[in-house]
Amino acid sequence: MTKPTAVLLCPGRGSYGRDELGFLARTVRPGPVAEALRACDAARRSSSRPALSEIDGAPTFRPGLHLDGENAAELIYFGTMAHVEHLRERYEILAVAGNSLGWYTALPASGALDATNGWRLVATMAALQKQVAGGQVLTTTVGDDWQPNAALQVAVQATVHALQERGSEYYCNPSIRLGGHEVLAGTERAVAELLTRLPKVKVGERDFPFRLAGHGPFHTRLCAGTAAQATAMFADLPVAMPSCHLIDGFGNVHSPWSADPRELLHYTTHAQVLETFDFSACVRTAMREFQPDVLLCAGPGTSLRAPVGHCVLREGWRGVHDKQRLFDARLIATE
Amino acid sequence: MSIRREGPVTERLLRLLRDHHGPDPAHTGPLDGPIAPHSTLTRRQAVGLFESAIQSRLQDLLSRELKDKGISYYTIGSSGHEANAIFGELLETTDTAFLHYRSGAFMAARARKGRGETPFFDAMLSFCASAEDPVSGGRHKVLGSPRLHVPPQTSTIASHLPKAVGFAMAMRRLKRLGIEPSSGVPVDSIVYCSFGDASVSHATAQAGFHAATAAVLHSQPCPILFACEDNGIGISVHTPSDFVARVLQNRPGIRYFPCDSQDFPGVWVTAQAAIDYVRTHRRPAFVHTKTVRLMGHAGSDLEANYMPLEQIEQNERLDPLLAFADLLLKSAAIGKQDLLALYRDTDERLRRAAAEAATRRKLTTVAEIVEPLVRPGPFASELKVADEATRLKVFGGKLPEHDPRPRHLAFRIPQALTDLLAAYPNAFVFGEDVARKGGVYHATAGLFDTFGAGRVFNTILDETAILGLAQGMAQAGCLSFPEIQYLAYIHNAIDQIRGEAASLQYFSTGPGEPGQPAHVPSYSNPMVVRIAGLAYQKGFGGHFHNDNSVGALLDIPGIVLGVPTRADEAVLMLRAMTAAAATHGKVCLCLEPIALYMQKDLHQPNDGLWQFPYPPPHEVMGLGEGRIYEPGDDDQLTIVTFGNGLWMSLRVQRRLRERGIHARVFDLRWLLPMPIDEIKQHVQATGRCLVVDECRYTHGGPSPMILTELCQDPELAGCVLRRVASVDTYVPLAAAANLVLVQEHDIEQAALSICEERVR
Repeated sequence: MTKPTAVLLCPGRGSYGRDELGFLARTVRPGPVAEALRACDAARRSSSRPALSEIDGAPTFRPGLHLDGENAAELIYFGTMAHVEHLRERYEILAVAGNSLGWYTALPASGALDATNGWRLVATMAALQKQVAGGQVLTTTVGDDWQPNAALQVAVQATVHALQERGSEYYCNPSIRLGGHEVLAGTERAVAELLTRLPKVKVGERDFPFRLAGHGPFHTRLCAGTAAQATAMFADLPVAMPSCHLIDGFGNVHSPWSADPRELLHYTTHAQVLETFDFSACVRTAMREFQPDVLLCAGPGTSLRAPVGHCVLREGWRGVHDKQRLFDARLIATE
Repeated sequence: MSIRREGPVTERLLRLLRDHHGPDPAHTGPLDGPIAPHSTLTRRQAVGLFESAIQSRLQDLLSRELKDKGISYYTIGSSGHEANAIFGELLETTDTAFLHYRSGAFMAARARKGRGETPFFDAMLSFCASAEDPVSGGRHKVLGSPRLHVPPQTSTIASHLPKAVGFAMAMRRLKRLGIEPSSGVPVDSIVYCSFGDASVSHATAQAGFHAATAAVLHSQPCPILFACEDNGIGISVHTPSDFVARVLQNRPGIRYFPCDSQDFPGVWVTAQAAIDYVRTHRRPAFVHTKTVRLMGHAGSDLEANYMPLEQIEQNERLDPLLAFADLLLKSAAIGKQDLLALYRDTDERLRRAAAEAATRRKLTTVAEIVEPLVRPGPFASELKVADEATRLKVFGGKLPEHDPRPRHLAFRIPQALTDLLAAYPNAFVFGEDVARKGGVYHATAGLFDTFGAGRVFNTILDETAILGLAQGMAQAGCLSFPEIQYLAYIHNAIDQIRGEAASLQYFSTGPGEPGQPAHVPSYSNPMVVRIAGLAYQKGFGGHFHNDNSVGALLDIPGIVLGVPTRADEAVLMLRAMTAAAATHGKVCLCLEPIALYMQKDLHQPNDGLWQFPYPPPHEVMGLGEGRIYEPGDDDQLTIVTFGNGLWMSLRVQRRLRERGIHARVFDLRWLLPMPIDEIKQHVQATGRCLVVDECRYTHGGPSPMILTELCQDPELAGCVLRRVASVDTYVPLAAAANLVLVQEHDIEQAALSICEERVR
């Protein structure tokens, strides 16, 4: 029996929460990911930090521990990598993409890096970005029905624009285009202003906007130092040609036959760090250019489900224009 | 033999991929090393090019399959022309590309350089004529993308060459004025323009080459790369193998670069050299790429009907993808299994994209089809006016509206243009004799002295080149005011309006990006074409200077066509047109009656009644609004007219009144959009209508259409309707002209005659 086709979407930060405690223990199985995880645990112990397996196995979820930038990044990375090994058995993966941190995971998930170097990349980038002042704010421009709200879009743009006009102290910019959600990033002052000035919206049980705990001003020019350091530190990162198509944060496709590893590396340490990460474009490319049976959101967590759903409705993919039909059509898989 | 050649062409390529012997040690090397000793093309880049090329080839094949199923509607393909992917790869995405329709591989390659482009799906939307086709909204299969700086083209008759040259020449003019091109390209970008060997014979192609040559000989930059893809045949007509080379290799000012698509690495080097030449020297180059056409001109064209099988098979053996794939495998740029996987993957992706695209929405209403052609309402455009200091400066210290003396038409037109050039810094006036001479009728007098050669300049004596320049400059961000010296001359270049300028918005109005407003044209070429025309010149006769037919303009969808007769209204009309062009990208034609340029009097010699004051600078004429002269409650007749007919009709109106007949005269002013509702109101009020049309009787002017509209209106069923028009002939010399042109006597007699008829 042929397996359903899928474009694999690797989650970013914020996808390891209370419900994901023990995800690594449940998911990781013997193989390269387990070996990389062992190496990670060993390295952590040698620097007197708690091993990732221990954090994953903690009896309760402690935001201070689990949402710490470095811990969260590595938990999510290993969780996704382990999950992908399971997903491969059930799906034919046509292409791989990721959201923000998920891009680092997409590299090994597509075969462009090995699992250990993928971990090295994730851990180092998390450590470097922890040093950058500023943060991210998540807001939304869709309603409960996941349809775009033009007034909210205008208000968000106007708020960002007004702050940009106030000079570098209030620097902010779109950080991640996340379907109907918008992740904005900026200086501490900008973050404070954004939280005050952005329209207050309640969608489902969530109140927007809110600050993303432990997140730096990712994907903005405030990370220029990170980009420079990463470029120097990863000059030797053994990026290879991917074994399936890889979709980057501009929505561009890198093919398994012509991708240029130098270009992938440069993108990873440069544009990906400094420019808006357009996850919506990734999903659009996934739908339009690969037309898989499903958009497959890898774990841990289901954080990508809503943003991917927004993108499907906006595209009208497979004739689906409303939220109810979206669920009935089973175009998005979260397992 | 197989009549359709899709199968044999595909099988030949797949056989090569399956049966290939694999790497040849003499050709192998690192992936990032050159694939051939004579080229800088690396093995990795070569595989990327092959991906674009095979996408294009498989699109062609799929479009034919889909056509057979009634899903696709276009089968002119790019097979055999895939080497143009090299230009797509080597040019910058900001080098504006005016493309030949066999440019599928170019588009695929350029899309790879963009951000978030979805070329597989976009191509399929286009083949399936979906309203979601991002470029044309399903109105035509065009290659185009504003983000990738590819204006939409159909380019079947080389009609895009003149505007490509115009675009190239616009760069320097904008740069000098410090204006960034509104099209978003840098001023140091270059223009790429591709076409086939058969197109080289088109007059428009020659106009383009000639304009580029003339630019070089006038020491003007013209950074354009002409790319001729020579497949040796135009539909079924062979091009002699040395024709293109002999015609173009020694053309003054245009550097010639030959190459052959059998040798992709060689084309790569030649293309790079030609691009470098154009970019560095800002001069034109001509790349001549030899290739073959595969599978006929289009899906419906069976080559076997006119070409021997041996020749067809010989062409197929020369399929450039065979030589290229052989090189890729021989040089170990990619393994055999991988190349087959690449082929299959591309095919499957395209098929899945097509399955989705076929379900997407089609155009279903007339309203959405014609949306890009709808003319703006009377006051939907906003006119810019320069500040007073600027106006005082350009008018030499005295504003024209403060001059109490009334003036004639040819005096006011340059004043109107002065105001418009002052208000719109991106506006340019150009044409034959418009600069120092100030126009043969002085309608551009003084502009050169006021605004300089940067903004007011003479062109070569070729209307195709002038209108091409107008389009190219307008697409680049200018507001073009080309002048056509005589109405007869526009007929020599009419397709530049009909097929190109007027259709641009139609072919470039897609559904809009998500989150962006829908149905906004991504391209426009705003312009106000001034044309001196119509008949009745005294002392300067003959047809070419007295052409009185506008039939070829009246049926062009979407254009604006006005005929100013009075000095003040010429000013107001030019302002309205300028605002419509600047605000809505409209193509506007202002047909100025030559015989009225210097006319100062109306009823009597020296009465000075055909001179008028300069209107206040913010005043604008409503687009499509006519003007009524002396209406009264007891009017027995409405005379509907325009141009010279107005001047004559007003004189007749007075004479009729002396005879006790009260007639109102209605000046159309606008032929497109025509004020038909206003006409109907007046005709209903008077019961009788005489249309005075100075154009040729049968199809030369607007009167047949006006009478048709009036006849079909049940509200006007009892009205008496007549028209007078000129004779269906070319205008002869001297007094004989009066025998064929409508005369005042004809108007008067017709008016008297119908006033004797009873209104039912």
